[in-house]
Amino acid sequence: MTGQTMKHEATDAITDVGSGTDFALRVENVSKSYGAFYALRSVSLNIRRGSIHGLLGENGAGKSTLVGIISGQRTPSSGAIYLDGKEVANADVRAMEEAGVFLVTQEPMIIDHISAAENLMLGIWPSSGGFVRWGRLKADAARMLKGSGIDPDVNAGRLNAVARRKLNILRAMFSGGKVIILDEPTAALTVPDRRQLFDFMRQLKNDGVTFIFISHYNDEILEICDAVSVLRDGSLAGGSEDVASLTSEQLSELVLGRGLVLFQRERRTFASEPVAVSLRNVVAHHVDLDELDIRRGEIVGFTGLPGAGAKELARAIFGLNAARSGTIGFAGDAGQSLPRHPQAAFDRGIAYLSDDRRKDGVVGHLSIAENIALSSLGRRASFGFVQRGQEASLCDGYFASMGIRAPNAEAVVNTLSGGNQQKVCLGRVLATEPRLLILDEPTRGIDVGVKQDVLRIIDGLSKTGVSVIIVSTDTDELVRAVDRVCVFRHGAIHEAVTGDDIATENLRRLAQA
Amino acid sequence: MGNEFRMNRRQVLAGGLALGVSAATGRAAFAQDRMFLPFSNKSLDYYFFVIEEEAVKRAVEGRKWSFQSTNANFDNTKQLEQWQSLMLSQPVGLVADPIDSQAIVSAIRRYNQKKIPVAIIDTPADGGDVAITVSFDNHLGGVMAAREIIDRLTKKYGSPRGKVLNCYGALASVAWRQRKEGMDEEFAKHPDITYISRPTEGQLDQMLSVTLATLSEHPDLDAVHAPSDSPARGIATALQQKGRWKKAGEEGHVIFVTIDGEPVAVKLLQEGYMDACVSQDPIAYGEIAVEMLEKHSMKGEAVPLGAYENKKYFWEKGEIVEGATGPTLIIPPFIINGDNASDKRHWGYVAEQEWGVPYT
Amino acid sequence: MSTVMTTTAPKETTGQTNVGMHKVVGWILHNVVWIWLVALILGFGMFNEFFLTVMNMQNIMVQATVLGMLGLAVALPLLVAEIDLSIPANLGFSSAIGALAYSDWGMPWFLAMLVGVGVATLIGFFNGLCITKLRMVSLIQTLSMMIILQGALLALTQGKTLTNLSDGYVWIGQASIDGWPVMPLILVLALGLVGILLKMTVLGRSIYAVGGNPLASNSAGIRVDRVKIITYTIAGFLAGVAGFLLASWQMAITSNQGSSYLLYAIAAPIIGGVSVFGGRGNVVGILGGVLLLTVIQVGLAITNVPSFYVGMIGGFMIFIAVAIDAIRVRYFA
Repeated sequence: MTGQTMKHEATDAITDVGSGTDFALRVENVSKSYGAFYALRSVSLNIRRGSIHGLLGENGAGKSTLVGIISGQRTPSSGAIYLDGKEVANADVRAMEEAGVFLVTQEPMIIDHISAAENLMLGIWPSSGGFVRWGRLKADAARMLKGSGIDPDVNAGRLNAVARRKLNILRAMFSGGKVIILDEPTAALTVPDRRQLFDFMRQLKNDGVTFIFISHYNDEILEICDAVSVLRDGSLAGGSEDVASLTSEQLSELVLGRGLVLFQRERRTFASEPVAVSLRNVVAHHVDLDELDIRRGEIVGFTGLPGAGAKELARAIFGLNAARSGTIGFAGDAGQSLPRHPQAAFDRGIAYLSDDRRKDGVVGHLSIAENIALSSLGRRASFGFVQRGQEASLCDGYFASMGIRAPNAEAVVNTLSGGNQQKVCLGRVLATEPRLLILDEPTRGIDVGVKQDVLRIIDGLSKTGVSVIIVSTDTDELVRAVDRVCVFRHGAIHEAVTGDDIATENLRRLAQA
Repeated sequence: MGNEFRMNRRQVLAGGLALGVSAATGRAAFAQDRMFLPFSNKSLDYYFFVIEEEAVKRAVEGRKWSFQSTNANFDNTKQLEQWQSLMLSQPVGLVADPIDSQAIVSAIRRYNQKKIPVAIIDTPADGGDVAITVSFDNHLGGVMAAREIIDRLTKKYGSPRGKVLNCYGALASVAWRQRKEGMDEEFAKHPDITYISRPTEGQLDQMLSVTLATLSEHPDLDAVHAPSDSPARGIATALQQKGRWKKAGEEGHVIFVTIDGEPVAVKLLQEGYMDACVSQDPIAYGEIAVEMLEKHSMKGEAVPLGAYENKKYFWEKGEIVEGATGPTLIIPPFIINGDNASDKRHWGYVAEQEWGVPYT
Repeated sequence: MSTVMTTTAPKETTGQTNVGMHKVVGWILHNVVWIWLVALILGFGMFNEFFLTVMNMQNIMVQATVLGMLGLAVALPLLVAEIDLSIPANLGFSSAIGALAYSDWGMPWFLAMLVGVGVATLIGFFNGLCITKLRMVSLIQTLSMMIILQGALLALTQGKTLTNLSDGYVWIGQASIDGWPVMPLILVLALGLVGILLKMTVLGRSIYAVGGNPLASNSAGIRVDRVKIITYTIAGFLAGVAGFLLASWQMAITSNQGSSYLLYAIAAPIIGGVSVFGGRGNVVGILGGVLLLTVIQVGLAITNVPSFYVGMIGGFMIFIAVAIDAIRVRYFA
């Protein structure tokens, strides 16, 4: 304990545990409000030097806000941050970085067309008289990269996901980083890659680096962290200095504030149901499909390696990727050629939700209501004028039924967490009342609680007769949510799996083969 | 939140307007005892216009009236807007150097409606009712400059022949266009002279590069002309760079004739580098405009036609005639050359030496 | 030891006053154009007794009309995250076409005016086509269009000023009712229509969405190219109307008509809060920006500031407006 008295009961409890230890970073009663809305309420944390401290919580629980404050991107409304026992006030990103706190985000800040060594030294080039000292740069970089398995001379664009993340961490350390915040560093990493990253982190930890590790996954927290703090609704829900004694269920309970019930769809056969959607002879980039029928109310999973055709087919059906040929028919009609633009797709009852919300899912600076209305504006207008009353009730309806967590439907989408943004997207496509709903990685990057919500919504929708395609590489999600899995290879369906054959190991084997 | 902002914004606006209206009624009967005579200038980028403004200013303030000027920066629309705004201050008259002869007509008509007399200097207007126009015959200026060059070529070769470069100015400017037309006409009468006419937009840097290029192309160039003095310094630089900067009478001298009569020209003429300059008289423009407004227009009478004489000016005599827009005094262009360059009545001398407006 | 703890949310004690302050400052900064405008009006009123008169308000309104139309025209492409530099040049060129249609081709003035506005609209449409279908960069495409149109105007007029305009054509620029000029009504009408377009129609919503995120808009079923083309076309139309109004007001078309408006026409909407990155801005802000610039111009024209300093002072006033806006975006966006 460093001398300051803690008034708060929760912080008392935690600091008791850490009494007498050396804290690299302390957060004391930090709050952040936007108008009347509190993103954080009096949160206190103590991070021990040379530890990996997990930060857990649902989307919107306040993780990003807290990390933003610690890294100097945002200023707290009240409260204080102590680094090595000294208070840092009104610090911006630069000041925090100088003090040794670095944030490594999900989007690795790497410039593709220059070498790994140069990326490592970006902005901190060793120089004399304004000239970069290349020899020194290469030598330093080589020393830093030793043991990481990264070739300093390789073009950064050719590094794989795990190497890019390592590079970012090293960069932070080389810039004098003592406390490094990793925001979901394992997203989109394979299992072996993740293991490699964790080994790397442990190695650095032993050298005295302190990590704050943000993750959605209980198993990761349990595997790598020494201590954990859990945020819920902007407040500290609890934490532990002894992660080894925790169970995954205990963590989930802390995150959700209730016992987590994983969703499981009741699978059945659809042989007796009428065919709702029939695809024929679809040829497009990476796609060469002879035929596929989807029945009324059926949920079909598309999976496969990247470039195998699952995602490409989904985009071709929606008109985002140009199809060279192919028809789509509904309820047994003759079928028309595939739509050439998303608007035509929506008109024919086909809706698609992209896997990359920020890129082509939401219009960030517009409100929730405006985003929900976006795809169905035209059909609900009269003489080009938006029907405001109708629109408002529609948006309120989806705002409520999707369970979007925000002050109201006028909130700007950029301020929402990833999971809530995904619900907004879902609301937008559902508002077009589709006959065929295509969801591309619908639960990527959203936490386990919201994930169940999304899967439940999709399940409920299918019961109203809508046919659904879920494109996913998350085998667990497929096992829980779909009736049939189509494994793609070389642009066509290599194998279709139904019933109890839809199991994690089986799917992995099929997809990798 | 959004609604609240909108409400408040409207209140702010309403408040501002209310203030304006109340102030307006309170000030309706504002002081009439003041004599306010503004000047609408077209630009301050040229010494000529600066002196024009200085002349009007001295004339107005010398009478203990209040003066103000606006600068339209060669933007015609802006000048119209400035006239409109100046009208609000209830001036006793307006002196202006219009950017565009035709576009200014609508503004003059508005002043006519309000019965505010307008004096136009330098660039005559094409319509409306103008109390007095004092200007320069740009066309004649071009002709005279051409004749000065032709005379010197005749003296050099025994007959009018040789090579002449005209670095003409922007054609969107009426004055420059008319000077070019006058010069074109005069040279058309002398087919033995190779007349090279090149655009420079009246810019110093372009005059420099055009003259350099022409000298490379035609090393035997005999004469060069610029329709204004300030940018003509580019020509002087070009001649220096090409080793052709020689006094009249020296071997390799290039005949150098300009228009305007600014201090730089007077100086170069005295030194002998320049041959002749067709001069205007911006000081006379401003002074005569104010004088005529005071003597006649502000008393409600028309400016009388007939001879105008004033020994104060180098040109001494002019004629007020009935022009398109009313009484017009066209000051005859006159030639400054080595013989008369030291006369202390040249405007370039008065402006720089007596008024102390530095020429850079 | 196992130390899983759950806590209740702490009670809210601090921050309430902070929130209030934040709100007030936010409100002030959101309305900064209007507040700065009122401040300038009062300031100029102190320096010149004629500034705060009804006549001057009328004067300001007249002078704001053309700039306002151009500001709207420039704002529309900005809202879809593009830009159109050719708008002021389009104003000059199209009005000259309209004037020539009357004087040289003998059309009735109204028809001739429509021809001018039609040409302007077509130019806008063409710009839109180039930018969407040919994927030309709007900054350079419209820059080249601007140079073409300026050159074409000089060629059309041969450097002379066109003044052969019919009485009907110039009526709108001269007419007044009870001393109140009629011309600003066109601006009011245009502001109203564009405001309704942006706020209440599907097209308006699409414009904001496309400006905010074109990829997402495309996936959401919006025809992004079509929206952009329509936006450019409307901008061209507004430029054409502005050209008619300017020619009508000054009863003349010079060989460089309109070119001096370029920077102010771009500055006005940006000062009024239209983002150069697209998707943000509204007509109230644009009007504020237009009035602010006009008030500065008029104020400086009738305040007895030595002319050598007018340009600099005007520039400073605009700078302050932009600086305050930048602060707003920095802390309250």
